[in-house]
Amino acid sequence: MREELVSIDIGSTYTKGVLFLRTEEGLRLVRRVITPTTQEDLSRGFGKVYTELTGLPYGEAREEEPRKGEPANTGSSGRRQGEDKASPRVRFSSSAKGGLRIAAIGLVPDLTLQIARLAAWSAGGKIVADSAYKLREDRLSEILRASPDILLFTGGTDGGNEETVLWNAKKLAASPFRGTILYAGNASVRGEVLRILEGKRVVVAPNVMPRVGEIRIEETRAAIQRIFLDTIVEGKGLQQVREFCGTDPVPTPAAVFDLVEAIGTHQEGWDRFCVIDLGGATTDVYSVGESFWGEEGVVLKGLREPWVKRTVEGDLGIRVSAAALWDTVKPYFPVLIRLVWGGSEGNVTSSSLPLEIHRYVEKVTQDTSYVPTSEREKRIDRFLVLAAVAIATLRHGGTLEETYTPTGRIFLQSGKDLRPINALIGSGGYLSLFDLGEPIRELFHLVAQGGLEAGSKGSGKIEMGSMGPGRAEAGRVEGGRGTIGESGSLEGSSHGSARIHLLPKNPSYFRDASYLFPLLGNYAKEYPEEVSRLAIETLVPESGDR
Amino acid sequence: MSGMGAISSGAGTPACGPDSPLKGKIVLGVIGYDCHSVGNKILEVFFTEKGFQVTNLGVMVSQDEFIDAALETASDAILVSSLYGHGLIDCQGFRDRCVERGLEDIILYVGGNLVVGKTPFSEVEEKFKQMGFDRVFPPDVDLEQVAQLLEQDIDARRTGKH
Repeated sequence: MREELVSIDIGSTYTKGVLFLRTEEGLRLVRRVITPTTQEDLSRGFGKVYTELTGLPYGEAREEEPRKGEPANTGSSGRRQGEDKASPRVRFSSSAKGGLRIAAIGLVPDLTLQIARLAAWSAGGKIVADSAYKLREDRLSEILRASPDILLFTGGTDGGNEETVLWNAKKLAASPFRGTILYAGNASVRGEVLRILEGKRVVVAPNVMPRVGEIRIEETRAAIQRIFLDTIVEGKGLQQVREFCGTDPVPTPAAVFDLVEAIGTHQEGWDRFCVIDLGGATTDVYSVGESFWGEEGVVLKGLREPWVKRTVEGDLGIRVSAAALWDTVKPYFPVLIRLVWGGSEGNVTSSSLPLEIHRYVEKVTQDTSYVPTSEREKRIDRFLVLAAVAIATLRHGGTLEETYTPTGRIFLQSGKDLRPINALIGSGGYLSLFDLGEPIRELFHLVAQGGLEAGSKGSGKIEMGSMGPGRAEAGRVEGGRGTIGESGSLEGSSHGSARIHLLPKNPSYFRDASYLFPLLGNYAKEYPEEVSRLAIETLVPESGDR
Repeated sequence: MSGMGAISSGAGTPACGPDSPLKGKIVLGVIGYDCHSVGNKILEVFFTEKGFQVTNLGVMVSQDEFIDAALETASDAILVSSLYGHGLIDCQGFRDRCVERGLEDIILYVGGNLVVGKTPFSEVEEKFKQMGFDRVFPPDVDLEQVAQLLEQDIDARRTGKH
């Protein structure tokens, strides 16, 4: 067996491609090509990458042999003979201008609305607006202003709430919304909802929460991706690429999601890890692992979140969204400053640093391809990166809250427990370039202890010493399984807060240095084992001893 | 609220609303930091067998979790258990919270060891009724009787008499 596989990712800035060779020994990377994305006609950049990878011309259809013959065989000598065609298989992904824009409607915020969010994220979307309970005029206007591609409409268990669902359907029917409505709510009123929404573009999927607490998002995820194909891919030459390849594009984040799932399923020792993909506009966090470990003394409140979870933060990015990031991170400023600048910045409040960062943020928001030149600017970039990583991971992970009951102390867990995560993979520009293992571990350690919120807790004085060894570590999970270690190791923080953020404890850091994840992800459904093995093999571990 | 305390034989009366084969939809759970789970399981099995659609939230359930579940499932009633003696505190404001969150007419039952000590049951019952619970049960209540009352109350609610 000798098979060539082409994988191409059409990003908003660059179109990247790779040629893989698949043999009995597994998958091998043969060639990589990158070229600027041709925004006005995506097929041109795609064609260029395709030709450079394969030596074959990019034409209208690949059913026949390449017409202009000349398979100027660039080393791909062992081309598969016979069966169907001489040209290699092609899969491709598209970032769709920074992701699918999805508005989520649910009934109860912690139940159907939260599950709708999880479904949208897992499909590669980002939430641009949402609404719980009855859809009010102001919420509706907000949704319309956010101009989502897809409106994910949920609410009620099967056989459950009808009143709010039908009310919302009527509101949507009367609204000028022109995008696609994906109904994945109470199945008992599906017919009626469809009737009410007649005239709108509507797609249906099974209820995301058929019974209280039961999450069913697979079909909704698939439906979102189909809508992505049918409505978002229109124009800009993607249709042509689609015909040429004989296959549909996958949203880039969904390709990464598939790869992350394949790694977790097929690679030994990789059943508890996170991927952080940090870009100029958004920060995506993926996690693989049990959401709740059933430790003694810990009670799960709310939903048990999925084994593979993705969140996307549209307000956390180091270029396009730098201003929003800076706003979000201001309360945590003192701690982050110490992390990036050590003690050298002295008294933070009197330093000129905030103003400098502010100016830098203005600059990079204007010029989003800006590359820092001075040492000072590089530090500020690092500050922004760590800030985005911290906030994005905080939002992705859950919390433990200490509570006293008549039978003793217990901990209430909400959200996903990331403590057992033992590896962290940095992907996307900055994180795939720089070895950030050490500062990220320090950061997580501080955050887990409530350190980042120091400002709001009125102290602002997290001593560097608090990161030193020998201190009772907040939220330790021994060996990643089952126990909280000796009593006392969950001893919250000494800063007066009994809330613990469930962040990874001491994870190793790896970099997806050649940014292969989306490209590998394009084949994750077909060859999960081989693709995930190559993904792990190409990761760059931390330098220095760990 | 009609028929409070009146026990009539529910036998023979139609089970439920015209288009539902079920006797009604109920949410079950043990409130507060109470982890007595055995009785909760028994209630789930019992009411399911009696023809109710049960959403059982298990132990250590907060007021909002009861209400969230009742909203999503459009349940007719919430049945609150409390066995560790702190029921009065845990249930404080439950009805008000239901009203605030749009469940003003939901049927609220509570039962178990609701208070610590030897307070006569009638006093306990009175306290919880003042808090807005429709029915209050001691720990040794006959479940058959509860099921009958529940069916009757749900019927009344569905026909607008509740």
